[in-house]
Amino acid sequence: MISRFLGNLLAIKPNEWDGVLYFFLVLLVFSFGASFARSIGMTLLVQHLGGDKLPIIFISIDLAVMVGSILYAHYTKKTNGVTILRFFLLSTTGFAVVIQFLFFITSFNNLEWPWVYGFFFVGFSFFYILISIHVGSVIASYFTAVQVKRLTAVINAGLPIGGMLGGSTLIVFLKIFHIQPQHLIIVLGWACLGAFGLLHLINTRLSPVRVSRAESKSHKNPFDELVAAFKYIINSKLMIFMSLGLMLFVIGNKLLEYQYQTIIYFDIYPNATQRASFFATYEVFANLIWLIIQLFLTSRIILTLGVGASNLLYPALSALVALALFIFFYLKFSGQIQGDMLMMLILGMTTQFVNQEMRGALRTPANNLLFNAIPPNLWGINKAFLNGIVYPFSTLMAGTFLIIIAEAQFSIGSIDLFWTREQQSYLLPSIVLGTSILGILVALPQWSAYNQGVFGLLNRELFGRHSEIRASGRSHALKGVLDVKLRSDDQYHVIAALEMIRVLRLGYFVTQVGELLLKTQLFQVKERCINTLAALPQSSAGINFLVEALKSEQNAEALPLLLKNLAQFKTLNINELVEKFLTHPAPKVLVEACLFLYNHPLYQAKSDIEKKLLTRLQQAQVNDFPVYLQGLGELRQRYYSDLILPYLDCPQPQVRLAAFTAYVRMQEGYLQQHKTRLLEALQSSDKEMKIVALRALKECTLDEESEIEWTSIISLLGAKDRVLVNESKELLRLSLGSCKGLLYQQVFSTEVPVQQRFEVLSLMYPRLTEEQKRQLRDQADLSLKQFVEINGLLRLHLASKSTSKVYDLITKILQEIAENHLLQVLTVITFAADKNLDFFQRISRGLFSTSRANQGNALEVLSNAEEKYLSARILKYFEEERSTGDVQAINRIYWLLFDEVLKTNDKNQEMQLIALNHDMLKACLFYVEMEKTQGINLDQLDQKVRQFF
Amino acid sequence: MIPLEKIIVLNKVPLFSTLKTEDIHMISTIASEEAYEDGHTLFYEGDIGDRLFIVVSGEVMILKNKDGQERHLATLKENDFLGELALFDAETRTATARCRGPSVFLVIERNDMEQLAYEYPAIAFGFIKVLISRMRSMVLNQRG
Repeated sequence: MISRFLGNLLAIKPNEWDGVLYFFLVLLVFSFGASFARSIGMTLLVQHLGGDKLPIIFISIDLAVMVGSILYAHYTKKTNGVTILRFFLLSTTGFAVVIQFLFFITSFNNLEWPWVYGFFFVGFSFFYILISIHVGSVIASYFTAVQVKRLTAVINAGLPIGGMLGGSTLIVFLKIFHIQPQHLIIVLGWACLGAFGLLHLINTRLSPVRVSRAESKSHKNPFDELVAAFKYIINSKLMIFMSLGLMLFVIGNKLLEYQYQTIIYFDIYPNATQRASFFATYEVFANLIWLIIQLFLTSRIILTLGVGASNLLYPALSALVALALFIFFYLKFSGQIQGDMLMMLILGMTTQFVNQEMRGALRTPANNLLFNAIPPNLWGINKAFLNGIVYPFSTLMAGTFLIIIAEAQFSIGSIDLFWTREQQSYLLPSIVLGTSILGILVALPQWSAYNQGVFGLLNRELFGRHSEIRASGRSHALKGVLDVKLRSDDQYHVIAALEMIRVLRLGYFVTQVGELLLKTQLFQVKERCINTLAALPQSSAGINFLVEALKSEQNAEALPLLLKNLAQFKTLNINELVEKFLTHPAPKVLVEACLFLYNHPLYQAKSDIEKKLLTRLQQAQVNDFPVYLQGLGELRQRYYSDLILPYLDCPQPQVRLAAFTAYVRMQEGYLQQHKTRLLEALQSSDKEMKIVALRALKECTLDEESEIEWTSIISLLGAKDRVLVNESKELLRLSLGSCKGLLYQQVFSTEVPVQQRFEVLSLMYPRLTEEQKRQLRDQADLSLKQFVEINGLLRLHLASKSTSKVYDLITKILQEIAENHLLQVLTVITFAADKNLDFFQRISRGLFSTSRANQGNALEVLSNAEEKYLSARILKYFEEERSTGDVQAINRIYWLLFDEVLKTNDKNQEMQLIALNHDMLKACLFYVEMEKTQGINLDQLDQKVRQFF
Repeated sequence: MIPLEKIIVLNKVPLFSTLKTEDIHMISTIASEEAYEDGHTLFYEGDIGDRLFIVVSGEVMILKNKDGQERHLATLKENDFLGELALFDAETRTATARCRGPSVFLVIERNDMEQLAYEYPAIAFGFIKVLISRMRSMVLNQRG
């Protein structure tokens, strides 16, 4: 009851409770011990070393963290995230024990060892920062991208709660039990041991969703790792914006802190005791408000606005307080306001709240979620870079600036950089205003980089980013790898390198590829060399290599390739060389030589070429017909078309295809009168034939009224072959004016297969009215409803645990029908969100993936898409369904989404299955009956179902 | 064996189980049922492989020739399959397969499979996925 209430209040699903509770406790216990260590450490440090040593201590911490971060980045590539955290906690425990021992020695022997206190504070801060950096990665690895967005605030609430409990307990120990503070360091060790134990439980009871360790073992040393990290960061837009954002945040944060600590509060409470008493009261209330915001607002804000937009909020808040401070202090400085202490106090408290509490309640969780868009195996390196390099560097910049303006008599030329306190009071907020506005400006592209990053995580492809490779520093490394592969003894390595050079069109390799062509004896390698040289940017070196190869080549398979590729270069006159091949016995060589010469502008004896081809065709064997027919077709002479006709009825499909292609080539410009023949070819079982027909039909005018003509073309949009789909789509696009009536019908028909409907929508969606788009959305909602209903049926079927032979098959069929309905919804979302096929494919692959991480990433991308209504409903379905998978859960989701009771139950299950009108499913149901009765009466089945028996 | 039963069997074979039911239906049209008596040799070590066998019922012994003696390597049972690589290349069989007791098989010829994969690329793609996932687990096993 309580867990359900809390679950609803804090948006935690039943299956998430364990993870949330364990991690919440880890943070709480650790924070409890850390609050002891921090308070005691600071007190003892100031007492024994004096406040003037603080800057050295802070620099030491920054340096230690910098070195630690490099090592940390190195080990995150090799070691499991939980193991690293356990190591940190154990090390902190060991450290606390050693320190406690040293404190006892100094205390009992009255030794003057002030360095012990400095050592403790630096050491504790080092571990605290590293644990804080790493724990977020560990938590994130146990949840999907959408879950962590919802749960991060609740889990992180363990930190302030632990801090408050720790602070209160410390006061009790000090004030009531009068224990010396230096005897309480061991509490840190106990707390870390407690957190270590909790991690052990997590490790045994929960499984990570996202792997934060690299798949391959890295053999680089820490320095090389750092260089690699820099390279990644420089190439990652998101990381650049995150680094800039962090830098601006740190500078603004330090300046504001200076403002309220040394200007505002100092003016209001000149007495140290009064100030301390104010801080104590402030801390109690501020922490309470922070907790409330973190528990009840942060998640809701992030879920409503999305991760990208949430990161705009903190710099906006910071800009607002800076503006208010600037106006107030400027008016005060110019004498327009006098002695308004209450206003100044309110401003100071608001500034501190934004700077300190809102940072924890809003900036940190929203900023940590940006790591969703970074591959988990790179989290360590990126976090180490941000916290170990960017953060200390920014602190150093802000600190130096404050020292210069506040203390130093520093001047450049005639400009005096020393500011009076009055000047500082309004100039500092004006600088913060500037950094905050810059922060907002950085957060905007960061938002789009985040969305791109999450989308990219759904499917990372090398060739999809080849332009990026060419443009970036990675090309250098790539060239090195290709260079090695080209020299390999393994032909498959050589082929892979050649393919990559061809796809990326790396002209740099022209000499190497050319030399390889002349040297190699392997046809597979020769073939790739020729294709690669032809694909590279045109150069005289490339052509020379091809010509040299033509002179020396003996292979009858390589020669046609050489001739074909050389024919592209019309200014090249090697006709004499090519004429030698007119007597070559291999049909392909002869045909390519004929075509080379026939199409060459300087070659005169074209009629000889025609005769040569005809003679060879007449003397040829059936197997060689396709080559000669193709050659004859490429001459594009209409007067030979009658000669082709007999071959169109040849029993061999290859001959028919070649004859048809040749016929179409010859009739180019006159194809309208052959429209019927072309439309007939669309019914052929040969996809190549269909492609040729579709290309030829572009030249024809199709009958606007003839539904048969259009239907045969539209149905090809659902073909498995992409070329076929593209050709039919292109034809429909060209004739949209004539066929749009029929296409409209397809847009609103759920009977149309998903792929076909997707392609139809890609043609028609921009032409739909707002009313039609709304209608389409309602229809998609109906598909979503059916998707949920079928999942209800699926759960019932799974719960039945039948022993029938068709049990697994029914499960699979139901899954496929459900998927099909979801794909219909995703199709509509894709167009409503103004996305493309790539989006649709990645999202569907992600949602249907068995990996929860992929599913989470897909949901995160969906939640960032511009279409909100359907996306939110899908998100809700998957989040709820994931929590409990039984039929009751489906019932609850159905009620949540559609305000209706799901009518599926075990009594009407069979009726509903039959109503799905799926032939194989019907056959399965009939088979179940057959298993029960051992009899069979096929008469009651329709033809389509009967084919299964 | 009725067509639906062929689909049921094929659906249980890991090589096909990730394919869509529609694709499995296609494959069932090229799968033929063959029954053999006890002791029948399906193929000998060194034969050129061009058929995939799926055990519908009965058992098959896998034997390896060593020093002129046949050594028993494994026994395949219902829903196991043998010779799946023969669907993709024409290499020689690496072991002998012999029926133990009367056995029924579904048999798929390489030529038929090639033709089907050419006409329905989704089927070929499905195989690639299965082979890649096998390769992945082999690599992981090697590492582990």
